[in-house]
Amino acid sequence: MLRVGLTGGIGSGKTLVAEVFKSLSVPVFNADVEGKKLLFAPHVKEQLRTLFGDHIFSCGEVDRSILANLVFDKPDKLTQLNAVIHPEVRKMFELFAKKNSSSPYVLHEAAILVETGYYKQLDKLILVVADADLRVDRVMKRDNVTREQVISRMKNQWDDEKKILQSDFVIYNNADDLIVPQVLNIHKQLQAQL
Amino acid sequence: MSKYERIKSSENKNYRYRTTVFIICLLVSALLWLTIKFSSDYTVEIPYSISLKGIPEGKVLVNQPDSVLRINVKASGYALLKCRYLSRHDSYEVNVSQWIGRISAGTSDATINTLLIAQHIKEERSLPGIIEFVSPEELSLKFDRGVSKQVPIIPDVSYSFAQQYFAYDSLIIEPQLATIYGTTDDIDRVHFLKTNALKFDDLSESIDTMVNILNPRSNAIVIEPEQAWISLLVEKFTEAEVEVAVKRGKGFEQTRVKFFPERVKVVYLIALKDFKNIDPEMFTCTVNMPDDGAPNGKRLNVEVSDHSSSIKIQYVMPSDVEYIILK
Repeated sequence: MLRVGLTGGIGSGKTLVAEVFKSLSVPVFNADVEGKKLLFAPHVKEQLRTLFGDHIFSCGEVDRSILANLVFDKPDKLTQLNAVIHPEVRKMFELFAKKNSSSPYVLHEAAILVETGYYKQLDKLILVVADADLRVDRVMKRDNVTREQVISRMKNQWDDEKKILQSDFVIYNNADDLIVPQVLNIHKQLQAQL
Repeated sequence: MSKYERIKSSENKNYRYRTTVFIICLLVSALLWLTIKFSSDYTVEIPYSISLKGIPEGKVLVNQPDSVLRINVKASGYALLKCRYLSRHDSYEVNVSQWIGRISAGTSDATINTLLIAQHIKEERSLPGIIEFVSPEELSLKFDRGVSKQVPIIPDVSYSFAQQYFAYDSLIIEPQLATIYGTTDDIDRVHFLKTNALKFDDLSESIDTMVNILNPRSNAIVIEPEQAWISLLVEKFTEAEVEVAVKRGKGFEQTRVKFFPERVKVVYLIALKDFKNIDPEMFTCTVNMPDDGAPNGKRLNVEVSDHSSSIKIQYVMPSDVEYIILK
């Protein structure tokens, strides 16, 4: 069984691509969703309390908005947070992969697989790319945020050109691109590699 | 008082006395002259504007007879004075059926002796003296076979709205149809009626007004009714959005299919008064299979196939989706 990474910048459409893979019965692990679930895990909460203090908690649970504000534009704090969350997410992915070992391959969907270097531990990497302007528009409409806020979030991610070099497959998701034929093509190639 | 002043005063009194006597005599003679004059007979012309009613059923009047009847009456000055200033002699409605009797089918002419009408007016309005003559002597009426039909009334209304205001419903005209009467030739040429042109700018309130229906054949046809009600409900709107699942439409009924994305965002305008009543269940977004049966992966348009009539759809995001037909 192959462990395949699925990544892409904010607003690139990787979740939509993941949905297409799911419809082909491919197990998809969403690192972002699982990472949020981890914030409720007692051992993770303890580590975060030690690192950032009690003020990030509200009613006994981690307040995600306080935590997001705390690490926003503070690379050192973000590194500390990732050091707690990422290993736990990876452990969960390993369990997920084991659980779905009968499938030809499983997908690990995450926004910063290349930036963290985790892609090296995966068998293949699929990158979803789209024009920056289109990505900004999509996120503005999806999250009801300003252009400046989206651009600020995009700055924390690598350029697509840099990530393409590390990728095995690239899915283009611009206005005129069709996703389904590209996914079907990759699906076919991945199945053929077994 | 000096002698001169006494003489002057005496002359003035004399002068005033003589003047008063002269004026009294003048008035008495004028009164006598007027009494003699008013007791004499005179002939005067009294005009009456006439309108025709009671056109026989199934007939239409196709000519335009005289519209003023001039009645020359001979009477004493007193009676004429009284008639002139105390009696009304404005307009008079001539009931055509009363004066011409039955008219046979088909095209026909008829005349009305205006002396008879004048005598009727004389009795009704208590005209003095005797009628010497009436001008015109007769009213010539030309009839044609009358037909009728119902035609739609088209409102000629243009309007613009103030910011955030829109029509809550379509423009309503009541009645929607009018009956037109006239000759076959005239009626055949009329297919609809238009109202007077109305223009409303920067509307922020509903329109509810009466408007005249224009007669396209001058007065050659009769329109019933002559006016119509026009109403347009105007409400303040706000923009809102809702996420709706994409459903299978025409061509996909027997197919297992998955759309990407599965949900779309519908941005719409809604009247403020209805805002709290909106439920996502009120929207149905569907995707139809094109007639040529597109292969997997082709992008298909999302249609908002059902929504409340008070909602104005702005756009759907994304406006098209991809799909996979599942085995």
